[in-house]
Amino acid sequence: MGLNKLIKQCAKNDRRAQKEIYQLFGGKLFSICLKYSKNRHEAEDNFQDGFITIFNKIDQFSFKGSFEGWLKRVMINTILIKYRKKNVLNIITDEIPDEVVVDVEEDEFSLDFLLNLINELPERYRLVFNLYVLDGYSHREISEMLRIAEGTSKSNLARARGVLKQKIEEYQAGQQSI
Amino acid sequence: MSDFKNIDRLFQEKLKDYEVSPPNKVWSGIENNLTALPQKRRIPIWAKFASIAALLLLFISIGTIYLMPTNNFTENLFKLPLSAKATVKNITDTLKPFESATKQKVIANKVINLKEKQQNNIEKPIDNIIKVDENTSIADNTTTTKSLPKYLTESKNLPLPKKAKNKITKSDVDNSKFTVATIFAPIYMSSFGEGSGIDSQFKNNHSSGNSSYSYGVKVAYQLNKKFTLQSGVNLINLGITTNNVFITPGISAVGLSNISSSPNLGKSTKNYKDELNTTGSLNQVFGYVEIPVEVKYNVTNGKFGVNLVGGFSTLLLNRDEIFVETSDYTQSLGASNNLRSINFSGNFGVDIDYLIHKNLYLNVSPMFKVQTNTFSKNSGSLLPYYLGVYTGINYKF
Repeated sequence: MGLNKLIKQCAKNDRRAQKEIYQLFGGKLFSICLKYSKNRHEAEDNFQDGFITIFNKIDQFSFKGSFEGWLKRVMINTILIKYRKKNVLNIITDEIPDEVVVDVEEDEFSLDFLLNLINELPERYRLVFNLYVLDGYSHREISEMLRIAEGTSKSNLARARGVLKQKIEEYQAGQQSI
Repeated sequence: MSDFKNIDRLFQEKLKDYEVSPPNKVWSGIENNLTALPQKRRIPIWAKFASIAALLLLFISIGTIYLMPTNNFTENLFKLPLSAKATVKNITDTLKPFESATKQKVIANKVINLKEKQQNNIEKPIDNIIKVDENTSIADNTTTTKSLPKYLTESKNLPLPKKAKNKITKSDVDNSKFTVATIFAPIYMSSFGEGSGIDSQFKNNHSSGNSSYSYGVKVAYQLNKKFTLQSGVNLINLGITTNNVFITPGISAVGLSNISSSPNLGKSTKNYKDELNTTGSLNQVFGYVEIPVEVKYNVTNGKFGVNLVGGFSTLLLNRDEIFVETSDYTQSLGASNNLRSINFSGNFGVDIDYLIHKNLYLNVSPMFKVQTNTFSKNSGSLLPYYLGVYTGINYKF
């Protein structure tokens, strides 16, 4: 069955088509949840809610542009809406330069390690870092998605980079002292 | 090998192709949540058509089985001036409860006709007639209340596939897609073209339509926001009068080609034998069971809704009688043989509804209906049409 037909079947609430979409895109979407969430448990919750939203709104997909891109946007938005409900304090920070570099060796860090670093970031930092660095949204888009000022988005990103750099260096220092 | 690296790049490269398959239990969580949600598009199109077809079938079968005339009915009614009470009773016995409610209204109406005739012709005690009236009205009340639930339960047992039926009931209780309504309409009839439905010799006589009424029930199903499909069963009485007919009373009446029989002519001549050579009119009365199928298009919404209505009706002949009328008397000549037992009409009109309560609204719908192939022969270019203002109380469920 073609993808478009599958999407149409999903709009008719056809359970088999829904499962097929789930199996086709579940992996990509679940990885998004793992990156945007605090831990695996929350990621699973977000993933489930995101997919329910997807199937409820799938009849709104206009067949223009990539379906996968649409799925990602719906998934990310579902997560953001949940976090937006929690009030995150605005932390005003000193300007930190855009370019943050760390001294790393090739393949020094495993994927799980890096993912864990992201997960441990404070909520807002984690979201902004994911949106800007990993999913390529601009600060303007992020400011709209998170209902924050563009400047706040920028400073959140800078803070996130700073925290990550600090953690990587701490880890490296720990490794060396052993 | 040590290297200074942009921190963004570090994460981007590692997480670029990151993909983790979700745990299996999550799917069942999604599945459970999806069943709990109201389904957005739940009725497959074939089920809609199947239900409409089933409804139509139901109406047509009710129409043909119960409402088509039994010969006794018309004959008994005009076996003048026998005890009218006995006649009515007879009919009440033979008819089943469902249609008796509707038919007895017709009877009651005719009894009034009889009353007038009897006053003209024969001196008869009036209490007899009054008794009849009481009789019919009582019967009327009881049968309407009884027969309605029966009709409703029948419509529930539509021969739909089980699955489709469940779906329809589930979603439609939520969204109030079905409407039932009672309909009453005063009807004014006229016709395009010249001619007479009685005989080609009256082709050049002026003919005019009679005012009458129609009543029945309507069932509507909302297809989507804009379109509603409606059907129902109406009883309708129509009449066309051919004016300026020269009447010579006598045992053998003028042979009129489209009249099958003239059973009472001989008997009744004594009532008007003193009248000589008068002009009068021939009144052709016919009644139909009307089964409309119409599409309603919603123009504006709100407390007042305005809709456009278009469609067609199947008309099943259930009454057919020709009377001679002069200023002094009315005499039945029998049935005409050129009325088709089934014909159709094209319907157009507007429908204005007014919401009284959450599920209850009134509607007024002026409709224009043009009949096709009413007559099988000898009628000139006569094309009857009628105007009716259909009013009703509608209940959505």
